[in-house]
Amino acid sequence: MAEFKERQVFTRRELPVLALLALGALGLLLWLRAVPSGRTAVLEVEGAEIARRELSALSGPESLKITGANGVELEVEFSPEGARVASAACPDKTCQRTGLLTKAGECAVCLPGRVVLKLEGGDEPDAQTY
Amino acid sequence: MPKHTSPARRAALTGLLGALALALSLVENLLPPLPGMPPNARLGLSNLAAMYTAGALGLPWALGVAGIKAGFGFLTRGVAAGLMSLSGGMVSTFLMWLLLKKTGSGLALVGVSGALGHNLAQLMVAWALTSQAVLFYVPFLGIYGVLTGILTGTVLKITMPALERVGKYWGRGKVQEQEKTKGS
Repeated sequence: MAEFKERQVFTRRELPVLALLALGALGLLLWLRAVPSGRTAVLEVEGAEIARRELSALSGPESLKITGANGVELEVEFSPEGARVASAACPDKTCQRTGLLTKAGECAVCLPGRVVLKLEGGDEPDAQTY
Repeated sequence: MPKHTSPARRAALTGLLGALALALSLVENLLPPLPGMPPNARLGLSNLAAMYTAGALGLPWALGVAGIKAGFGFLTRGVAAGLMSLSGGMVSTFLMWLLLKKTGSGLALVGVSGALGHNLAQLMVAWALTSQAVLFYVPFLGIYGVLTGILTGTVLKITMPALERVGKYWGRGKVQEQEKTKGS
């Protein structure tokens, strides 16, 4: 076995493994392109649903202010195009940076506030989680 | 483990590498999120420090580097971020050490397993903290893990001489001399 500092980036016998990983990644990417757009936006805090909107039934953007776990305040915006977290009162703002959700199953997650904003819909009911 | 290197030197090197991990994670946090990827997806450059430590000093020290990074996360960004960092760091460090020390794997494969382990562990924590909805990101994290893992493995190979120079003065110097005398 090669000493650590002389270790190569690839060894010849690993090429099939890496090729398989790359193929798997490509397959997943193709599968993702086929994901239908979401119709229903669902808002959860600590695993419990607190709001649900049919996006196509909305005439314009609708804004909703909620407080998640640990007092984290979020502003969620539903619109006919999708749903997004418009602002978040936490340092990370990961959920805010996720941007507009449009595809079924897509979600924006606020870990400190235990909040999940997700889209359901398409034809299969398997996006239902509870 | 060779006895010639004092634990103090190794601890000092671990501290330096921990600081390197923090600096790298700061740098990669400055980069804008890639379009279409989860916004918390990182290049995993700070994994370089853990990867090098696992290869140069061994598992306990490498876990120490991951611990330093997670501790910083706890202090500056709260419990949720700290837990994410801790789980990802521990799992990926262990996997990278396993591949480096127990198999002859190349650095790209080590990087990929580290990245995938990191993503998987964080996903499990996010799932536990919120809901199953986060599993939507599995394909993204899989693709991203493979690409960034190959990248970190390659970057480690490129930066190895520089890291070795630091390591030589802080904890690995005597080891190398010992190996040289053995070889001659």
